[in-house]
Amino acid sequence: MRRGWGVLLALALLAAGLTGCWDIKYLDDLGIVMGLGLDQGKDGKYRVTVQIVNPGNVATGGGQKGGGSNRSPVVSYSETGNSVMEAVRKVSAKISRKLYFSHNQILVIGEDMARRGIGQAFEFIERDHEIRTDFYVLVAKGAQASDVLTITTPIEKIPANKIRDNIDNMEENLGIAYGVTVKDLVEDMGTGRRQIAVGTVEVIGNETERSKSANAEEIRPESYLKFGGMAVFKAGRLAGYLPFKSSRGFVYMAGKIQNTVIDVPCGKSGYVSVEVVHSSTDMKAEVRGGHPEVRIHVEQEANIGEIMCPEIGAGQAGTFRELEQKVNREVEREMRQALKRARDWDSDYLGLANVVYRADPQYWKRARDRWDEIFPKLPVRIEVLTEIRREGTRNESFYRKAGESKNG
Amino acid sequence: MFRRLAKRKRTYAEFRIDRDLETLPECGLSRETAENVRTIRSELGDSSDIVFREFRIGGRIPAAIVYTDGLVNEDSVSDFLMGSLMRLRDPDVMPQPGSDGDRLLRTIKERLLTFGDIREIANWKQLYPKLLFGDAILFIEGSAKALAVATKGGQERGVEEPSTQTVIRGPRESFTESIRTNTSLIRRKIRSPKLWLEERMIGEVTMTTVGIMYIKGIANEDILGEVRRRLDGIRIDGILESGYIEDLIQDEVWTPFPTVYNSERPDVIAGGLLEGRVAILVEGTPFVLMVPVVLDSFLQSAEDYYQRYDFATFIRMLRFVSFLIALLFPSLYVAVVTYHQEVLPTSLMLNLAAQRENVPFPPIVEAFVMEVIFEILREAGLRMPKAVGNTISIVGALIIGQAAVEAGIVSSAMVIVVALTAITNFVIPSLSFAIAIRLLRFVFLVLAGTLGMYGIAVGLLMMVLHLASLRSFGIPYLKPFAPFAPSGLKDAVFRFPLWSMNRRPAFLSRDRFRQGPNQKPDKPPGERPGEGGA
Repeated sequence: MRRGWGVLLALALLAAGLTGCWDIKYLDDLGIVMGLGLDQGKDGKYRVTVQIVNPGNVATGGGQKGGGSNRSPVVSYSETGNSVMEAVRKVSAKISRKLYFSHNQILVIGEDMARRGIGQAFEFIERDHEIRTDFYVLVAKGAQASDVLTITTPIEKIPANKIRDNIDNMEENLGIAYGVTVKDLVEDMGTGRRQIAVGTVEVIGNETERSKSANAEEIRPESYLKFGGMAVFKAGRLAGYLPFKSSRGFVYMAGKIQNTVIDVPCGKSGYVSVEVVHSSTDMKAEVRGGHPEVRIHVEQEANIGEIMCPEIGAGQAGTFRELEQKVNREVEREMRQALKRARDWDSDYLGLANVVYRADPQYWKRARDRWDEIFPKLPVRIEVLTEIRREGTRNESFYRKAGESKNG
Repeated sequence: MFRRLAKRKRTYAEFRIDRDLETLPECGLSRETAENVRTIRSELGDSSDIVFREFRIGGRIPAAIVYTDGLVNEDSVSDFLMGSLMRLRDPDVMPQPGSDGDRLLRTIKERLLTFGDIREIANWKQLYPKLLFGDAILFIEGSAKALAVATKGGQERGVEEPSTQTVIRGPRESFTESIRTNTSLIRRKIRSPKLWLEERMIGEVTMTTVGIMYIKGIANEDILGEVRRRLDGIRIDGILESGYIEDLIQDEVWTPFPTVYNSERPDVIAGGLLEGRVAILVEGTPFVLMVPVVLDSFLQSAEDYYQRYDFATFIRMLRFVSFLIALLFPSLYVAVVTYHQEVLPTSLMLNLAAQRENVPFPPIVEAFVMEVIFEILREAGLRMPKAVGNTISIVGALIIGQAAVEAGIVSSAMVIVVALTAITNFVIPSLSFAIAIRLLRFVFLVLAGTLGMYGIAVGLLMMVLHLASLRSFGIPYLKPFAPFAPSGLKDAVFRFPLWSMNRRPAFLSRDRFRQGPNQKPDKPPGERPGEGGA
C-alpha cells in the first residue's frame, strides 16, 4: 500500500515536470511590439509593419549601462507576405529578438488596405493567443500604415503610445472620435448588424525627415501626426471619412461623448461656447405594423465656457433656456449630418439595424434581407435635452460695462 | 531492508541511557559521616567543585556538609546553616555524646535550621540530585539519614527585556534561564490558585527540570493528558533547550511549520494559559513552549491586545500581506518575467526589460543567487560580534547590492524584490514561523522558475493541503479558518474589541466564558440615548 502511494506520488511529480519550461521567454530576448501596421502590398499581398521598442532607450534611470541614449527608442520594420502571419514571421529575418505582441497598443491600417477590405486581416489578430484584442484600430488617412509607424514623436518616446494616448485624449476632451478596439470590430463584423467605424490619423509634413530623431527634437516638428474624425466602412471596406461635425454627431449617437465644446452663434458674429460635461444617449427602436422607427434621446449637462456677445448676461433669466435650445438644435443637426452620411454611403455604421434587432428580433429576421431598402427610409426621431448648470466664475462678461465689445 | 530496521530498533530498546543512575547504590546511607563523605568523593570522582566541610555540632557531634560550589548561596550555607550548628549552645537541643543520631537530626531540622525547604534523605538515589541541584547536604554522625537544605543560589541572569517579540507598548520583562524565575514571572501575572504547576526531570544525564503549567478548569484535560504522556515518553540523555522538547513532542515531524509555540514573553504565555493552553517550561532556557497552537497564532503579537482594536486589526492584516509577500514575491517576480510578461503594465514591462538588458543570468538564477547571498548576510550578521555587525551589514547590503547592480550582474528590480522580501520576513512576529517561510520561499522559487504561475499555484495548493493536514496536539492547524469557526474569526485576521470577545476559543477550552456580558463601556447616565437630558 505504502509503496503504491510512493509510486503514485513519483508519477504525479514527473507529470508536473512535463509541463515545465516550454514557454519560457526571457525579457531580454523579446522584441516588444508596440504598434502594428497593415498595408496593401503588391499583388494583393499584405505588408505588415511592426514598431518594436528598444527598452534600454525608453526607460530612464535605473543606472543601467549600455544602450546609447542617442539611439531611437523604437524601430519599425516592414515585411510582405501572403498572409499577415507569414509577413509577421518574415520580420524575424530583420530583428534579433522574438516578436512579442502581448503589449501591442495600436493597429494602423493604411488607406489602400482599408479600401481593399480589412475583414480577413483580423483573422490572425483575433486568433493568435498572444495578441490581445483590446488595442485601438485606426486608419491612416491618405497614407500608408508604415508612414504612421515610422514617425518620431516629441513628447511620448514611443510613437505607438502617443497614438493610443492621443485617441484617449480626443475621446475625453474633443468628442469627435473615440477608441475602437479590435474586440469591438470583431464583434460588429460578427453580428453583421453594424458597419464599422474607426478613428483616423494623418501624417502631416516633411516625408524625408519624419523618422529621424531630429524631428522630435524641434519645437515645431517638421512632421507630426494629426487625428481626425472617424473613418466609416461598408462591408469591411473604407466608405469615407466623417468631417468634424458629423463625426461628433456619430459619437453622440454612439453615446461616447465624455466632454466636448459646442459653439452656438449669438449676436451679429459672436459665439457662445458651451462645454458639455456629461451626456448620455438612449437609442431605441419600435416596430409598429411592420414599420420600424428609431428614436434617439440625448440628455446632457453643460456649462457655459465662453460668451462673445456682451448683450447676453449669463445671470439673466431665460438666457440659459435660450442657449439650451440652440445647443439642442446644433446637436440634432450634427446627428442628422451623420445620419445623412450613413445614407449617402449606404453604410449603417450607426448601428440602427442593431437597435431594431434588439427591439424586435422577429421583425429583424424577416427584414434582414430587405434592410438595404428599409435603411434609407428608416424614420429617425432625435430629441436632445440640454441642461446648462453653471456659467463659470462670473455672471456678466467683464467687458460688458466697458462697452468696448467688438460686437458693440 | 525493513527487517534490518526492525532489528536495529530492538537494540535501541535495550539501550538504557539511565544505566548510570540505575547502578547508584539503592542502599541507605551509612551511619558514619566519614564513610558517607568517602562514598560521595569516590562517586563524584573527587570533583573539585564539590565542597566537603567536616565540623562538630556544638563542638561535640561530628557532622559534615557537602555542597556544590557555585550552585549554592555561600552566605546562607556559612551563616545560617553552619553558623547555627557550630555555635549551638542551647542546652535543650545540645546533643549528648552517644545519643540517637536520628533524633538529633530531627531536632535540628525542627528546631534549629531556619530554612524553608529541608528534606530528610534516606538513600543515595535521592541524595545526588539534591546535591547537584544546589542543596547543601548535612550528615550527622550516628544517623543513617541526611538533611538536604535548600540553599540554591549562585550566578543567574536577571530579568531583562526580551530580545525577540519586542513590543512598543507592553511589559518589558522576559524569561530567564532559571525555571523558578520563570514560574514566578507567570505567577505574578496569574494569581489564581487554579494556576497549577507540575514538574518532572527529563534527560537521564542532564536531569533537566521541565514544568507543565496550566490553569485547572480552563485547560482542556485531554490536551493536558496528551502533554503529560508525550513528555513522559521522552528518554534521552540530555535536554539543553526547549527546542529539544519541541522536537520530541511535536505532532508532525516532516513539516517546515512549527506546531509548538515558543516565547520568551511572560505576558504571551499568561495570555495563552488564560485561553486554555498548556505551557511547558524548561530549565536553562528563556524560551517557554506552549501547546496547542494554530497557524494564526504565529502571525499575532502580544501587542495586538494592548493597542486599540482597529489599529491591531490593521496591523494583523498587514502581517498577512507581509506573510504572502515574504513567501511569494520573489517567485511571482520570476514567474512573471520569465513566463507571463503579458500581465505587467506596459510601462513597467519596458522598465523591467531595460533593466534586464545586460544581466547575464536568467531571472531564476539571479533570484537564487540574491536570496542565498541575503541568507548568508543575515546568518553572518547573527554570528558576528556586535561591534562589527553594523559595518558588515552596510558593506553587505549597500556596497554589494549597489555594486552588483552597477556592474550589471543583477538587475535593480531583483535587489528591490529581495530587499522587500527580507523586510517583510521580519514583520512575522514568530521567529520559528519566519524560518518556515524562508525555507518555503526557495521551494516556490524553483517552482516558479520551472513552471511559472502554474507552479506557484500548484505549490500553494500543496502547501494549503499540507497545512490542513497538520495538527498541534490534535487541534487542526488551520483553525479557525478550516475547519471554519465563525466565532474564532473575531480574534484571527481581525482583532475585535475585547468587550465583544466573551468566549474563549472553543477548541481550546470547555470553560467557554471569559468575561461577563455587556462589557461594552457605557456612557455616563446622563448621556445615554433615549434617556432625555443633555
